[in-house]
Amino acid sequence: MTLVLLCRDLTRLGGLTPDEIAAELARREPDARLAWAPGPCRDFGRWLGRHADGAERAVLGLCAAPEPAARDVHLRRVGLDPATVEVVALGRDTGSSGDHAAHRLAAALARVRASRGSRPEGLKPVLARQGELSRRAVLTLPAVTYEAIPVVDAARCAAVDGCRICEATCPHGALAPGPEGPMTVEPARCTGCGACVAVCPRVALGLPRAAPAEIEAQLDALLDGRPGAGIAFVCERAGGDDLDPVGWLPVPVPCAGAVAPGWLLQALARGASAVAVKPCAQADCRFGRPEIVAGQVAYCRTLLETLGEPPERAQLLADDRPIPTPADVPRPAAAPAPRRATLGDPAAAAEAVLGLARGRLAAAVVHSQSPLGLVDLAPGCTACGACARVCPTGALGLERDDDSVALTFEAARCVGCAACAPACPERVVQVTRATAVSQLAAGRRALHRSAEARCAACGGPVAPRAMLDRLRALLGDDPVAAVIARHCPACRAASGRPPAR
Amino acid sequence: MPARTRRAPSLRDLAREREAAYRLLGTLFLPPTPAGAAALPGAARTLRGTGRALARLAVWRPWTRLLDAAATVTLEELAADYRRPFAAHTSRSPLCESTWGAPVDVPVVIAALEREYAAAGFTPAPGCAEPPDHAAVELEFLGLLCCREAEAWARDDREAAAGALARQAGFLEEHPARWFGHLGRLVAARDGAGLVALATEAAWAFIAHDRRLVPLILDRLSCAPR
Repeated sequence: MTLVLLCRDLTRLGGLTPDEIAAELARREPDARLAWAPGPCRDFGRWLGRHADGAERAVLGLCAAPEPAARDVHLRRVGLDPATVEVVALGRDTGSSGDHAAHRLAAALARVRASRGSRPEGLKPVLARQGELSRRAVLTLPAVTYEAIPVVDAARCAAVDGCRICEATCPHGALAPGPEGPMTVEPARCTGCGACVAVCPRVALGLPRAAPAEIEAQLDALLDGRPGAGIAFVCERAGGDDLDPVGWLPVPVPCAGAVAPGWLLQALARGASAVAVKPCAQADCRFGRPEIVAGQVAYCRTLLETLGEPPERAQLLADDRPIPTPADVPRPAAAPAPRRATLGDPAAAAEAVLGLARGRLAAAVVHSQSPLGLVDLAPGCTACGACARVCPTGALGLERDDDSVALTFEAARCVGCAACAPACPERVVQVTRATAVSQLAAGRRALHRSAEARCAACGGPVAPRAMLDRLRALLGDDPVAAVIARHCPACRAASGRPPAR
Repeated sequence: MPARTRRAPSLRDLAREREAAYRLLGTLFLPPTPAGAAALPGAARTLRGTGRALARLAVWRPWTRLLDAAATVTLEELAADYRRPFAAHTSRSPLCESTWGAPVDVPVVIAALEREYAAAGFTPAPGCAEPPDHAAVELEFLGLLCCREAEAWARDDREAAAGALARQAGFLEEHPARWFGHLGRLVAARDGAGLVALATEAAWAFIAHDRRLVPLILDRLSCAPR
């Protein structure tokens, strides 16, 4: 059961009336249990205990967001997982309609319903810091708070194939391949920023409140019936009024570092007039790399400009500048593009770019923060397929037909991780962080094609001719080279001839 | 919910509550008996009414879900819940670290556990038919270490409490943490709603939680004045 608990004090603030919100919510979310309580903002724990019985998930519409650590303690005591609870601060909606408040509450409901909750291994306890401890204080259980950290889904993780995207993204060195293959998270180093979750092409990292499925559910619900709204991805540590920038529909995230540029582009492609990222101003920012966050927004602005769109459609809401509202942004020309990819899909960014490009095939942006990459080959490819085997997204592939072997590439699936480059034994693979509309529109194409050598005995495939040529060049007159080129591995094994290494 | 009191729970309270939790969890991994099934609902209701320290921790939710389910369970239900997740599993002792954990050399695991138990003065009861790496035995051992810790706090013997905590930290990391998560995922996939599934979920919640909390308490102790 999902609970929607609203503070009755909101009615004193003006435009929000209980009946309006109740009617609107009942229309949108008939299964939710709606409760109005006087004073939960003042005595959060008491009112929660009175109304939360039997609830598995909850949305709390309050005048202002309570302090997160205290909020989570109260939620746990009544048996609620904080990862399945969303607090919507509605105090700033004074004067707006009940419909607007209900819209935000319904979007929060969509998000908590998409949440898979926290997992025991994804919680890091933290003891309250105290100064000099008295002898008595040592014997007392200190206040325990929790930080969520990512949990690796070993069945999905591509680290065993060489994927290192999350490891390269983490600014704290908290991820490393474990002895059994999949990535492991070092809790002491992890700050729970979620940057790794946003870049994982296999959606193998789970972090409550940063999961693409949760973000997507809220995003879609916010944009449903509100074309042209401005979406702000807001760091939940921003605090106070910064959690709810005026004029924007906020999507809370654990850290601005968790917002992938592809999410910004998807929000625009799905109908947002503008998108923004609002980082916290904390000295101990979880991600700790504000230049990367700024770079990602800058990439979006450059791309928009290249596509003939106003760059102001992507904003970084920084403390040292006046915060614009979506109304300040020129209206986009494009209607929302149809979508197929989910937010966590590596192809989501490409789909968004194609939706925004509207046929501008010549547009291309080379940028260090591009969520997309391009692969090129220098001369010397042998079509061995080593690059395709390590590609975590399947952007590179090896395709065989009757006569030839082709190394193929689909730009829409390339995330620019460059795992392919060091895997190439000939060192001919080159990767550029770039977004090129023509390549995205081209679909899968052959980067290199080589004729397939056939077995002299059975007619089966031996290897690409380019690979055999390279072998001969390496082995010279060694008769092994001739044997390998002439017979397939099965026939060599059957006849006792030397197998290929 | 436990009644409100002014005094904050102590580390002794926490150790006592963890001891009770590990011991109850251990019994739920043994084949159900009429006597055990008769005592379980009462024990669950008693534990549901206590837990001042646990109520502050993330384990509270899975723990209370288990207690609520155990408070009304019958022997027949318990027996069915115990059989269901493992019906397809034919090995003799399915709830063992050497069965469910990462591929390991069974004698090595058994020997390491026997050493660990002997060093702590823990001997399974003479009638105990379960091997040393059985879930129930490992959880019972954790309960014993929590009991030692609580006794040390009661004597105000910080050295002994730290020793018990250090032993817990090492044991959690070396044994239960290596396999209960895997067991929990498999049991949840086979039978997400039964009492054994809830017990496995709660056991993993405690183990995953305590393997991180116990070292923090130890650190805090080492920084505190003597």
